[in-house]
This record gives sequence, C-alpha cells and structure tokens, in this order.
Amino acid sequence: MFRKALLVAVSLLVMGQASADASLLRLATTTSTANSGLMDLLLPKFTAETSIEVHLIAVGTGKALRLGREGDVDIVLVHARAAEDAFVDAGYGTDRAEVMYNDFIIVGPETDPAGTAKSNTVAEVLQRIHASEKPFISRGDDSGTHKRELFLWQSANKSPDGSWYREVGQGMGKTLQIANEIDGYTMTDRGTWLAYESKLDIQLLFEGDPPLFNPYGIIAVNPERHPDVNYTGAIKLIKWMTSPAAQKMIGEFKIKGQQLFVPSVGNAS
Amino acid sequence: MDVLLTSTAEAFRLLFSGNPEIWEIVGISFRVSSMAILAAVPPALVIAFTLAYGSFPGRRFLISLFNTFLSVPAVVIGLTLFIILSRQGPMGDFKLLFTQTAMGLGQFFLCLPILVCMAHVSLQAADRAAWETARTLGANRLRAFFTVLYEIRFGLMAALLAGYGRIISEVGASMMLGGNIAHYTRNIPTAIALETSKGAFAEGIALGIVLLFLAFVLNSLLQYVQGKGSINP
Amino acid sequence: MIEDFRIGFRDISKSFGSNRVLEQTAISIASHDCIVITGNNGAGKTTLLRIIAGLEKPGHCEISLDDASPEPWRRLRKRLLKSVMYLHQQPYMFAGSLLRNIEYAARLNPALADRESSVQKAISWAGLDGLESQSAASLSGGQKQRVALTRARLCHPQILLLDEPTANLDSESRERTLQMLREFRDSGTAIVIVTHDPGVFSDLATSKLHLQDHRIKADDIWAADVVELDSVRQSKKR
Repeated sequence: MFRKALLVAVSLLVMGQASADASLLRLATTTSTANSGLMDLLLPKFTAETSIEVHLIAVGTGKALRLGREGDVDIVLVHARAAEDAFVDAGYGTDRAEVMYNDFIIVGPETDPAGTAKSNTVAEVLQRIHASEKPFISRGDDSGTHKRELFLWQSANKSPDGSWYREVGQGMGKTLQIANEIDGYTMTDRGTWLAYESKLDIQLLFEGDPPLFNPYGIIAVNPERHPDVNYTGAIKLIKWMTSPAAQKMIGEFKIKGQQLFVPSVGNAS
Repeated sequence: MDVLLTSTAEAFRLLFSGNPEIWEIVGISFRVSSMAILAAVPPALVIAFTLAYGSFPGRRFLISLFNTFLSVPAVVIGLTLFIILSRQGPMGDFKLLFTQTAMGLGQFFLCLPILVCMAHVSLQAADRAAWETARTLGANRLRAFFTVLYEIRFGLMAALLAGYGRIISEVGASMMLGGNIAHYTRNIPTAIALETSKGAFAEGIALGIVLLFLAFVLNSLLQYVQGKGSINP
Repeated sequence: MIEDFRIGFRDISKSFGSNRVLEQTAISIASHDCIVITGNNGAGKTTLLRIIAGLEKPGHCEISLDDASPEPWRRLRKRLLKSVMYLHQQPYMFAGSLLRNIEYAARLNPALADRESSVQKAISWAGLDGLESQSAASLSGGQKQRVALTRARLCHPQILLLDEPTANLDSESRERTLQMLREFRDSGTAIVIVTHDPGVFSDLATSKLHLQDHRIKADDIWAADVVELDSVRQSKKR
C-alpha cells in the first residue's frame, strides 16, 4: 500500500516537472568554474535572452563528464582536453566548442626551499620539487586540475611518489589550505588562488608557461544517445557562449582587479 | 583567530541585513526537509505499529534491519538513490535527479528509520493495554491506532524532532541528489560546503549560525517534550 | 436491557511456542450468567478471557451463536470485539481526564441516544461525580476500576470479562464493584470473572468453573469451601 502511494506521489511530482523541460537546461561544470563566479554573471544574461533557465551543477571534471555520458545533464563545461576528446570520440558528446582558457600556477612556501622560482619551465619546477623532496599537495580527486597535474609530471619525466607527495582527495580550496598548513607546494587554478590568496601565507612562485594554460570546452550531450536531453537548448548555450557579447564579458570578468579568463574565440593560440 | 572573528562578525551582518540569497537558502532547506518528514511520518507510523503489534515471520529481522539503517551514512543512501534516479538507473525516466524531489527523497529515506525506530520504542514502552482497551471498547483498528498514537504523542514528537534534526543538517545525500543548484536545490548544508570551498567563510558561518540556532531550538523542544513524557508516560 | 443470547466456545486450543495453555476445552455463556473461573497461576485463565474477548488469536476455536452451526473464531472476531468487553486486571486509563476516558467509550457506541446525558448518568451511577476533570492517571485503584466499569456500561456489552477485578481493592471498593457487577448482570449482560478469591463472588455467581490441566472442569472443587480450595492449591505447590 505504502509503495503504491509512494509511486503515485512520485509520478505526480514528475508530471509537474516534465512540463518545464524545454525551458530548462542542465549544465554540469567543474567546481572551480562555478566557484569563480563567472557563471553567476553569464547565465542570468543567457536566461534573460532565451528564457531558458540553467541549472548549474558543480562537480569534478570526471563526474561532470560522467553525468553527461549517462544523460543526467544536457551540456557540460569542463577543462580536461584529453578527456573531452575521448568523450566526443566515444559519441557521448557533440558540438564541442572552446570557450575560454585560464591558467594554472604553482604556489608554495615563501622561503621556496626547492628553489622553484628560478625555473624557466613548469617541467623544471616539478623536477626541482621532486629532487628536493619537499611536500607537494595533489588534489588526488580525478578532477581536471588533478589530471593536468599528472600530465605535467609525466611531461617532466618524473613520477610523483614518495612520502613528500601527498594526495588529499579534496577540492582546490581545501588543497590550498592544506598546502598552507604544512608549507607545501601545489598547483592551482588562478581563480581559486585569487579567492584564497588573502587567507594564506603561501605565495605564487611560478606562472606563464604555456603547458599551464587551461582551455575550457563546452560540449552538448549527444541527442542520438539520449533522445530526451535538451539538445536545442544546449546548442543555444554553445552559440551564446561563443558569441562576441559573451566572449567580451568573459574577457572583462575580474576578481580583485585581475583578469581570470581569456576568451578563446578570435583569440585562438 | 583573526579570520574567525572577522568572518563571524561579517556572518551576523549578512544574516541581519536580510541578505536575500542566504534567506532563500534557508527557505529551501526548510521546505524540502519539512516535505520529506511529512511524507515519512505516515509510513513510519504504520511500519512502527506493524513491528510493535504485529506477529508475522521476519518481524525481528525487520526491527534489526531498521536499526541498522539508523547508522547507514547519508552518502550511502545518497549514492544508492543517485544510481536509481540517474537516467541509466531503474527510475531514470522520471528525470528526478538534481531536483528538490530527489533531495526530498534522500531525506525521506534518511529520516524514515529514525521515525520508525523511535516510534517503535515508544510503542513498546507504552502499555499494550491501551490498544486492547480501545479495541475491546469497540474501536476499529484505525481508531485504536490513533488512540495509541495520542497516548505516545511525546515519544512521537521526540522522534519527529530527532528526524528533522538529522535531515536539515545533512550534506552528503543532498549534495549528490540535489546537485547544489543555486536558487533551487542549494540548501543550508550544501551552501556551507560550497562557500567554504570558495573561501567565503563568512557566508558559511552565517548559515552555520542558522543551523546552530535551529539545532538549539530542536534540542530544547526535545528536552521539553521528553521531560513531559516522563511525567505522564 | 440486553436481549437473551447464548454463545458457545468449543474446541479452544492455544499454545505459546511449545507451551500448551489450553487444549480442546469449551465454555458456554448466556445472558444473565455470572461465571466464576478459578485456577492456578499460569493455568490459562487470562488467555481464555482474551480469546473470548477477541484480543488473542487461539490455535483453534469454534463459536456457535444461539445454537447456530459453529463458525471459526477468526470469522467472528470482529463481533467478539464489539460485543464482548474485557477489563484488564489493572484497568488502562487513557491520557487526559476522567471525563475524556468515559466520553471515549461513549463515542464508540453509536446506539447511545443522548451522549452527554448518558455520560453524566453513567458517572453518577459509578459515584464518580466531581472527579470529571481529574487526570485519570492520578485516580486510586478503586476509582480506576469504576472508570473501567463505567466505560463498559456505556458500551452495553453482551459479555463482560473481568480479570482479577478485586485483587487490589479495599473492602469498600470491593463492595461497590460487586454492586455494579450485579447491575450489569441484572440488565442481561453475562459476566465472566477470573479470580483467585472466588468467595468474594459467591452471592453473584451463577456457576463456577475450574481451569486445570489445560481444560475447564465443572466445578467439583467449588462445593468445598475456600479453605479446601486453599489446600488444593497447597498440594499443587508441593
């Protein structure tokens, strides 16, 4: 009896929700993107122009792509180039477009015991940390940032292991706080760094090497795989995000006076 | 220390300046949790009653099962429902994931075992003669059921408050099932998790204060209700 | 007044796990009866009453109403719950006032014409005037007994079952209870009393039964006086 009642209740709720479908778009993105506040600026403008409401779900890159693969969201905005290509190649996503990029930076204790500040490339930075065996804090959560960090270790021909390399399995903010507490090095996206900088003692030590650039791709979930995703809405959002107006807003978005993202369209590097 | 002080001061300013975003989050928390517990009460009472007064094979097993559910971490319930509600899951066609309904469902299953177990304990502590007296006076099952519920109302209130306390402050399942969508499924605990991860400690503390205050009110009510219950069992 | 009736309970068997309590025993109850049942502790007296009341599921039991063909207990359970009233050894008082307890019963009897005056009349009948607003839980044992009997009266039961009704009462309350029971019997209600103290009901009783070895026996022991009954008990103990 109870199960029946539950089913009826659920179906009633569902009917109420299903009707709003075409005007609702579910966007999965990474925590760092959502936390930067950029989407809070952009999405209301998109909604005003198209009357499509966007539900922003902030998770790690791995989770975001997974939600897209399962059809639980309509569109994803992530920064993990290799994983994005695999996602599209496997037929889960379609209509990928580059929206913008930001960059990663290396931060660590002011005293810089590994001497990273003298490096010319990020590979050299990692090699120095590796040689000094000073603590390095890794996200260790399969996020886009974590994936990029692992890729950079690989490019530097060093394998991060040993007690100095600590995987914490936490978000970027927590990871920064942990690095701060134990005087460790870590790699962070600039947005989170700007939000936390004033609360931390660790310093920005290295930036600007091209391998640290971090492109963001927006991908619609493939309607051939999940026929009931809001594909039209997704395409509208992709077009809008790459439109000159939105690209201008992205370029003008600042935290504490610093530009965070570089628009990709007409800026291709 | 400095961070704590300035953040707390800022938190109070946010709360009492009527910051609409914060109060919207508080509103969502209350709405979803209240719906969840209201939906959970009737089945919980029926189950507790069946467990207390019924005699059927597997009754003991069910009792220990519900007691086990008490200690199941919220994220496990969250993950299970996530898999069920996901588009590829058995209930995927309902499109419930990342809605308030999904969040409510998670909280429903979180508070159900608390309600069942505490109501069951109250029913066992209550004199079975209450049920029998009602029945022998000619009350039908439903009438006798409500009579007994009234007899154990203090125990039931305690169960309600304990259940509410658990779900209003729960973060794992709400985050997973609701998705922490702004203005929609962002409730107090998921907002605290988000604000903290953004380094916005003041907002986190402000919402923490609301929760703390709520916990205090719930606990005071619980103390009061349990005190009443012991005077007149 | 209660219309004349006769209910026969046959083939009553009941076990709790491997512990057999009643075995293929029978009892017949008619209007105006007052049956006193004795028996040792654990002989199954209470169980028997609860089966008759429809509260306890028997292993087996058949019931015939007014010489109709017997039907299983299960089918008549609802009827038993409606027409038979069982009084616990310690009557249960619902939360709230004495008045609420009595009104509760009155509300369950749709046949009551004027509920309010019926309730008032019943309260006076039991000598409980002035106690209406008192918390039922705070009443004395004798008063609780009278509240229970008042509730019963408002239900007009065909059969009234009492489990050790005088066990914890002083002599004045006991007299009062007896007087009230007599009025029940005179109005046609059949009364079945389970007791360790049969002497108290000797004036009221119309028949006396003894429960022993899982069966109800017609009462040869009764003829003997209480002293002898005690000696039977003593010998059992040994």
